[in-house]
Amino acid sequence: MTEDYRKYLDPAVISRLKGMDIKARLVVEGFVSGLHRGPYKGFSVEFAEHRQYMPGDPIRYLDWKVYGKTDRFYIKEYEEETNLRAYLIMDGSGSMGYSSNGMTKLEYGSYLAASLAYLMLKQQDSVGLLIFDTKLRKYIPPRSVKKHLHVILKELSDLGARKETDLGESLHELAQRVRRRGLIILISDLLDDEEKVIRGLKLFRHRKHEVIVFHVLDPYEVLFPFEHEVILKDMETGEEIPAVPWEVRKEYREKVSAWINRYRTVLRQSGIDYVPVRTSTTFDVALFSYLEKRQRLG
Amino acid sequence: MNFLNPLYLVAALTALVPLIIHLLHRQRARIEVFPSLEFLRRMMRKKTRRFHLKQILLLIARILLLLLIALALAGPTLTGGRVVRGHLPTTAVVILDDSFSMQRTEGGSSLFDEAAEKTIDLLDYFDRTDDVHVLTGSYPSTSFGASGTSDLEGLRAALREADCSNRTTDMAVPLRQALAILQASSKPNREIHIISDMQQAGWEGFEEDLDAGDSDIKVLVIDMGRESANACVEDIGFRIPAGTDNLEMEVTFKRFHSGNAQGRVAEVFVKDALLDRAVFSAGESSVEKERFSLPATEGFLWGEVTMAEDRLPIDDRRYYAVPSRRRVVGVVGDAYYVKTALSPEGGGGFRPLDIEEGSLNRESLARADVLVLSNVPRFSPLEVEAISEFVLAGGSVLIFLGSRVDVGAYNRNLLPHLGDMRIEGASPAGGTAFYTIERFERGHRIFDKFKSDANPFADTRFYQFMKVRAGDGHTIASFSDGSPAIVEVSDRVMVVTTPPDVAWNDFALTSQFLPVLHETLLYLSSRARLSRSYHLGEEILIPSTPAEGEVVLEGPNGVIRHFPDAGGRIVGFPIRSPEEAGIYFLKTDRETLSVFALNVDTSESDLTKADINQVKSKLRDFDLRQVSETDDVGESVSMLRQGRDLARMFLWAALALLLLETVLASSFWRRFRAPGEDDAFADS
Repeated sequence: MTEDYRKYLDPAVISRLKGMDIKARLVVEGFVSGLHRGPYKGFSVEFAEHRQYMPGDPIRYLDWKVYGKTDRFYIKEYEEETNLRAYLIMDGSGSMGYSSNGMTKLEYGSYLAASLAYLMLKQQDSVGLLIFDTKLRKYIPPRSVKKHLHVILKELSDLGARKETDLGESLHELAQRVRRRGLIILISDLLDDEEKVIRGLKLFRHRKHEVIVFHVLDPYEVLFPFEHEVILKDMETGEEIPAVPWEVRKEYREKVSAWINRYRTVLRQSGIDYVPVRTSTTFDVALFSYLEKRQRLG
Repeated sequence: MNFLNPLYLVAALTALVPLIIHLLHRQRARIEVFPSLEFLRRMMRKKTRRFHLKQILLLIARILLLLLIALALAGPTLTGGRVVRGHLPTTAVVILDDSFSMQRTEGGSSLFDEAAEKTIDLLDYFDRTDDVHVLTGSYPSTSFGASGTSDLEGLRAALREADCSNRTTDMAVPLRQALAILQASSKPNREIHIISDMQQAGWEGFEEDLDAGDSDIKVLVIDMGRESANACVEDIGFRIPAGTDNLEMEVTFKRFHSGNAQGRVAEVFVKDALLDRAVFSAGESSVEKERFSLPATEGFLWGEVTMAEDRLPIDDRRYYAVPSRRRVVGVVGDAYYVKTALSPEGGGGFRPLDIEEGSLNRESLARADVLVLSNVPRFSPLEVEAISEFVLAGGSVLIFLGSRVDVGAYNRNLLPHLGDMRIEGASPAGGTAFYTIERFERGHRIFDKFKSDANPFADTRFYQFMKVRAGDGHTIASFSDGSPAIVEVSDRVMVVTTPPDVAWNDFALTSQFLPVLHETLLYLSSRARLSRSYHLGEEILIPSTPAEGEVVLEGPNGVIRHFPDAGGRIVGFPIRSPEEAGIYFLKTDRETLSVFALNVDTSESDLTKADINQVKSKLRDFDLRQVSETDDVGESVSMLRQGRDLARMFLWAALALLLLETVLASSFWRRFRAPGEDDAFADS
């Protein structure tokens, strides 16, 4: 019996596995197995194989010659051939260490980054990794060789949340560091000064980078579902305030919702793909977003 | 504010429960790490403050709710006076029911003894600043001990010595006295305490509801009584059957309410000797009459009728005294036909006593039972006084009006003393014209012999008569023109408007004259003093023959009163009734002047309880509370004084707080519901 890899798209399942490479491979395999009947398959120019046309396939890949001979529609599939440079920028600040369901935002982001790296390297793209908190903590330049994956995965598996965030400043620093045009993938909870973050991201766009932002949040951050009176302690600053959840829940949700919507609106206006995810969101959502972006890049 | 059940105040401790829960709940707040407090920082201060305010409000509402319930259970009352057992300076009238119905025994002691004890207990709730009056509830009402005294010890001593009376209850009298006392009082607190078996009969004397005016008078009714069955010897009547000279006694037994009425033996005694027995078996609320023939004898007959005793024995025995001799009829005036009809040959058991015109006086009337005034012209003031006293002392009068009557003298002097009737003058003499008696009251005793006849007087001619205005009198026979022929002026005075005189009528010559005269005299004498029986408590005038020397009144307990020598002129002895039921003798050294019986008034024998709502309606101007004998006197008095019961108000306040608590708590729960999805996020 063939294993159904799609179960590995569930963060809860992935979190139980050991080894970043396994996790990344299973996520991508799960994702790819789901794609076999979908529209996302290859962007290369080198022909790989034919497969039967499925509704939704772009007709530009139809092999008209085969149609002329057999009266059947076949799609031409290609091996990828690319020179895309992708930078995975990982937020390693203290707030990313928050977890309400066993998986921290940092873990979720790491798995996502690993999966993306695995997928991109499989598609012959160059992948680099940048980790920051208040400043750039780690920089691995992009490369497209397969063994580069192990370097990235090792860094991601060693990653721990620490310190406070200075996302805006870090993005400026990163923009200085990344000179060649490429795909910037930011994985962060964006818990920093909103204006500075947006300015930083716009700077990437200014330098002609394509940008995808995976906004990782914990469900508790969004829903604020505490049931009892609690004293909330800030993970980064240690500040404590007493809270009556049912008294502030509605207003809190409205504020978070407005905050997300502002990011969504402003970033999209700047041509930045904005993907809000929760640590309970299956990985295919993020991977699809990436593929869509990758497809647009050609 | 005072509390009637202060022990319930312990329940107020439950008010601590919400406080303890609140404190425990506060201590349980957990520390939760959170990525960022950026969104919470500002709103939380405001919201938390509001939440804690709400929480405090909820806490206060819950504490107050429990406190109010505990207070309500404790029976809070509001008063303008001092607290707990204290009170404002008070004038109080205690009406202690000492009527004979209170003599009944319930569980060993009499109701009166228990009521007196209650009254003594009640005195504990007064002090030296108070004026306390203790009145009897029986008629006539009197005082126990000193009236309006603050000498409570003296009152207690008087009450310990007090005995229950043999009189009846009339609450109207002591209540009116109480009202007068309290309205004259300057003390700020005024109270009436009624300690009674609350017999219905005692509350029937109110002609109108008692008006307290603006007085703020509190009334506490301590109901001592339980409704129970009772039987009594209600009445003893006497008659002389027509055609005989023997007395016949008719005894009425009466039973009130249910109970075993079967087989109660009644015995008739004549002068301490058993005459006869009967079995009284009247059922519920019913009456049974038994007749006994009394032996012929001279002088007075007296004795008693007894029945087996129940829990109220005083009314199971009834005394009687009756003159056994023939009825003496004093005849004055133009009365040939009357005297002839009363002669021994005439029969009927009468002994005529001829009294000359102008010689009517107390002495001449002393031996008469009935006085016939036949066409007497006028009367001197002394004669009028003698006739008035005669009637007052129980004698009866039959007046024939005729041609010799001085209308003005009658109207001015005599008739006003006897009733409301007036003479208007003689009817016109009509020659050969005549009147007949067209209408007569067929059921009246004096027409007893003619019940079956169509109109026995149809052929009797009346040529002339005196026109009269009957006033309050009762016309029992009328002439053909509607004018009164025979008027019953009062229960002991009768007037015939035409004389036994052939010049005015031929009535005296007819066969109807003798039976009508006899029955009229029998009727009047039987309503007079054939039975010399009085009720205890009455003011009575004892008729007597003229007496020489000192007269004494001797009762069951020996001589109770001495009257000074009246020199043979006294005809009636005014006596305030003694307290003891029994046979009483008015006598001199040489002879017995009169014998009479004193009995209890059996209206008191009906132990039916009064409807408290009717009592309240009679006393609607008063702040009345009723408690039972088992209730604590102290609590009852506290309740009376401390006035307005706040328990209900407290319960309403508790209900309002419960609603507030529900609203506050539900707002908490509404916000506490399970979180839902966030739209903005899901949309992504």
